[in-house]
Amino acid sequence: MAIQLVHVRRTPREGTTIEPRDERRLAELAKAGDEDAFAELVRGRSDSVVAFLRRMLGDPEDARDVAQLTFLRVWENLPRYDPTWAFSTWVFRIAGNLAIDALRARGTRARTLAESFRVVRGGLLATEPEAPLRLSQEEIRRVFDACATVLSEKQRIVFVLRELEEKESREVAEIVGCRESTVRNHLFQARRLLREELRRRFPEYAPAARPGAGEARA
Amino acid sequence: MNVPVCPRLGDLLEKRDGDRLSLSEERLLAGHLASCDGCAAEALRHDPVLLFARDAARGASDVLTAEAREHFVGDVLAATAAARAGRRLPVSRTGLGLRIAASLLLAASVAGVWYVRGRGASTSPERAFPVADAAGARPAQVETLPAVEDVGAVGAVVYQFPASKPGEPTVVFVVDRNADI
Repeated sequence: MAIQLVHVRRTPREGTTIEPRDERRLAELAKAGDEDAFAELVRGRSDSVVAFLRRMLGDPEDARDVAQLTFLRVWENLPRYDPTWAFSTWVFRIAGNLAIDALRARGTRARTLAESFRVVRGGLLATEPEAPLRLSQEEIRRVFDACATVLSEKQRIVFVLRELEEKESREVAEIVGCRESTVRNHLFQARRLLREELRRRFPEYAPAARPGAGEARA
Repeated sequence: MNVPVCPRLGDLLEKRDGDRLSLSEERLLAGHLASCDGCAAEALRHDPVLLFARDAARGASDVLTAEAREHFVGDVLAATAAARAGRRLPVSRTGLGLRIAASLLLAASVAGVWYVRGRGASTSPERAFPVADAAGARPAQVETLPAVEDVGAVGAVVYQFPASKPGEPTVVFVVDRNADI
């Protein structure tokens, strides 16, 4: 059996973004077998999907691998794609499910590594009130990955989509497959748990709050 | 300091606490916190979790380079091409019939080995060689019947043949019923 490999070399583009309406049209073309249309969809969504998975999984290599698997699943399931859904919502739903699978597969190992991160870095960083603003992106992400181990998979995906990806609660509900009220509940719980974990493990990055500040008053 | 947004910070943070920000307000707040250190420090005193949102709003490094993106797209297309080629295989490749045939073939092989190594011995089932004895002391009278242990939970069967003479190696077959051949 000969496996046919496709080598693609195209003109590089910066920050490709496709309008939702165009994504639906491209998805229809891809469904009919148009490889260029599919490549355009992948190109347009690769940044956001890789960034989302990076926040879900912590590790950039894992994020890239799961992102590739996501688009492979998208391609396999294109015949079942319902264009009444936004293409991005559908892609994020697949990516989210794969991320949850990956988090489950990791289990205890990730928690252990996150704990050791706290021990190794303890006492090495500045403690002045402005310290959090001077943290590098890499450091903030490591702090997030360490703290986020206390979240359930649903809490993590809701927090990442709602708070970091800035998606609306309605869209998050569609991606996660639950009601908007459940999204809010997960979001509040995730914020509370992260706040507690940040204050417990990284007090130098959690300035003293006014009483009641940051608590949900829905 | 950004004058239009700074005075509204308290109001925006309170709305955020209740998840009542509109999409435009959310973007306004995130963008402002990414650029105004004074408001960012105040916001972090209000809720330290905003540290992560502020980082996300500044996340220019999340964008793949053009080269990395094209490499990524190429990898995805190669994977879909490989998957498409794999789909052309006959469906029966992983079918039940082939699995049954493989199981029969393995069973015949096991029976053949058993016959060659154990001919002339008693076939009484209660004289079967216990699997647990393999690691322990061997009885003086060498048994030549296979011990069969069905590991139902993992779909495997273990056939263990005792040595026909003391000091000879023990033969063990592990047959996975789910194996694709």
